[in-house]
Amino acid sequence: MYKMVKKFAFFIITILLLTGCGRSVYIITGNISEVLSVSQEGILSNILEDAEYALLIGSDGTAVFLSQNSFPEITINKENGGWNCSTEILPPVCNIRNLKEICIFKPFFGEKITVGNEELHPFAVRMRDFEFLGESQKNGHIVRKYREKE
Amino acid sequence: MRSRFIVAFILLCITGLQALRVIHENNEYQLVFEEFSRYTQRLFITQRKKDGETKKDNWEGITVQSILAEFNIEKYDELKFTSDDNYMVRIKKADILKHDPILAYKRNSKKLSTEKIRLVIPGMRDMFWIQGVEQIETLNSNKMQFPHTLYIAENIFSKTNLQTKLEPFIDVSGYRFSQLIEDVFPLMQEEILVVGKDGVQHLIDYQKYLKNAVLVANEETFNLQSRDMPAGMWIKNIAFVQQFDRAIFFISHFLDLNQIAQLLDWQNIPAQITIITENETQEINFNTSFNNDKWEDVECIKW
Repeated sequence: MYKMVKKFAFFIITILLLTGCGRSVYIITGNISEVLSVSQEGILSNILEDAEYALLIGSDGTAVFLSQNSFPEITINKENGGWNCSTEILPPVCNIRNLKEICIFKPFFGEKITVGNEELHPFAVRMRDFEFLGESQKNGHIVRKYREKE
Repeated sequence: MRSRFIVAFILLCITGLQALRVIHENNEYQLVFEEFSRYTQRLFITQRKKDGETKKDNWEGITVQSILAEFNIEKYDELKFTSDDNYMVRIKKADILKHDPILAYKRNSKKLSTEKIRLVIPGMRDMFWIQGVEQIETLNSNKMQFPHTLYIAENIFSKTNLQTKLEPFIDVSGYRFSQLIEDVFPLMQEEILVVGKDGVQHLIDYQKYLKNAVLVANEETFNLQSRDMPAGMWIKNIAFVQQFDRAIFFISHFLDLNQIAQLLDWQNIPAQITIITENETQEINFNTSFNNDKWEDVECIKW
């Protein structure tokens, strides 16, 4: 009996992981004191109150870097168990499906991480995981597209 | 044209001949230096004043435009020339068309070795005439956008002690370049615009050239130096630094924001700006003079 329950539990967990149903949060990382798990929908500027820049990262490794003045133009919604970013004002690259992480930058963040011979704030360290693909512009908003390095 | 590439490639493989790399969009082409005579030739006579003497030179070479034509390159905003010692200059398309520069392989009728092949641009300062050109890359201008947030360099440094050990340079004091930007710029990578008081501008890759750069104090100003950059790329009296929509300026070089706007050729400047200090936020006129104590406490300027 114990073995059957164990097998069933393993099966359910695997299904949850495979379908993404277990992912009910996205995380906020970067220049903050601790990583936050968030399940808040709404306008990005309401979710990130103090941040000056953000890197929105999708589960496929696509990412968009944008500044504070673009935050009010993007909305995060939960759909089919995943988190999507949507906007009509900003360049289309900002419509990220399956958002997994928002990495944020705040200036004069005290904590530094040593990388080689450099001392970097956590946002800069996370940015080093990405390669720059290009810049897009729409309605006066400029955003930068990145891809997570393999 | 395809057969020429194949011949050039085979020649390169067999003889180990040195070649010029031309990079356009995602394509890389090779041009063997020994084949330069096939392209449009041009002769320049230049006179330059150096160390109090007037130096006259005859330069013979192939036009940069003929190289671009060989590879059907028409769409670009700037050309980036890189030398074998890491020197880099960027020339706008308008200047390429106006001055019709050459890659000179003869100077005063003497053939130059491939390491001495030189970009010669009459009508532009000889600091752009780089020697040992090994790569030409086309760039589509990402003209730096108008910044929305400005920081004052002197106020950033006021929180840090002047350093007297700035290796590998000796007997100098100042700061590491990274100390200037690390708390206010989000990206410690990619390109950063660096501008000198005299208007000299370079868009420089942070990790390649600036990561180890230092700002050497020179009375009230700073000179940008780096062991990773040839000395010709160092910037005297650094005045302004920008990445994305965020910039830092050295207030000692300017009387007001209008002077910065003139240096950077900003258009549509705002009438009002917001200055933010630790205790207050204040709206002031864009033309407000820097000759005022209030600037000492300013954390940043926004508009």
